Amino acid sequence: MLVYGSFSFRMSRNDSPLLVDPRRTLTYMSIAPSIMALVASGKLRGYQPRSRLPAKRRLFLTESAVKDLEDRNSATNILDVRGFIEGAMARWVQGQRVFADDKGKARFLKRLDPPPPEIWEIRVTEPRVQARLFGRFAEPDTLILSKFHSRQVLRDKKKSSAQDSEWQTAMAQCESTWNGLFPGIAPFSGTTIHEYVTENCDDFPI
Amino acid sequence: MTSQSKPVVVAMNSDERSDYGFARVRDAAYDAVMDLWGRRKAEGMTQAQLADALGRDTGWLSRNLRGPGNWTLKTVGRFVEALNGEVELKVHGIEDPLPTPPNYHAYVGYEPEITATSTKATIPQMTVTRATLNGPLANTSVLVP
Repeated sequence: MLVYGSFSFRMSRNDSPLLVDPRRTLTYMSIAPSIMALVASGKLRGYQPRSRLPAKRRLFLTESAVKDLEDRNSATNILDVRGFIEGAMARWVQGQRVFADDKGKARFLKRLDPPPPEIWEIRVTEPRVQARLFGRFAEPDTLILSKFHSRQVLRDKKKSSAQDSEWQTAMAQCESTWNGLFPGIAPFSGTTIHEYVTENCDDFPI
Repeated sequence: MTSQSKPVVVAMNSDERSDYGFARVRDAAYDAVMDLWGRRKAEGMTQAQLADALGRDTGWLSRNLRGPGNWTLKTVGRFVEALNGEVELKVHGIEDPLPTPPNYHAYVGYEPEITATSTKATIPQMTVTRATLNGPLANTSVLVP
């Protein structure tokens, strides 16, 4: 099995070919300084897996998400899925394939139906008890995860409005957390998955 | 949490690390198989042909290509042979240097402890400054020695 080297490697921002209209880059303001300040104040924590490989994408956890991950009594930890959650986060950070199935359905990373807009989930689908990591894109390749949810607690969508409300509540909570961290700053929004995930990503509709 | 405080990272216990190790191997196997399957598809191989080579039906194939699942080593080997591939398996020591020194680290400019200055000095050689070791990722990132 090839453990690495199966995808193109972005050398640096400066080495990258110019992919957008230069006039657009001149008006672009990075959210990076805001993230840096939140990391410095402990409001966000950058996740970097235990690996010899450098990070190729960014993932930040809110204080709530850190608690979900590390607190032995959190809903996700009670289900003994932390190792699998960290495996999914490592997949993201290390730039491994963001995959869809053979029918073009998102399997690893999915944008949830609005409202509210721009809520994404990382799907932890193994073992049987599944978890969903909710968050928003701050920039391309940059996810802010706000909360982890047990799939069982969210239950099935669209079987009843009461069950849908679990998702609505979780999504609203994600939006609220974002607004608390980045007041007045909208999450990143794009029209294709490749605007959100720039490399090593299957082609699927969002 | 106060400003500039260093978060305490709670490490995974042995069971969680075991799950993590399994998840990483499973992901590597899935990605490697999917890479070759993508190439074979581009060369004209169909899903029906792959299913036939596997001795399975297309339903089984579709389920197994949906995402990293609980594949056995036998399943991995079956895929590799059906795709006319060859397995190359290597387990690195976490301290081993990379064959090609990377010059990109996604957290530069986003993490106070990972700066452009320290990256120039540290990332290419995969060494770690004291600032990184004392930083918020101290217990989660292992970039040594």
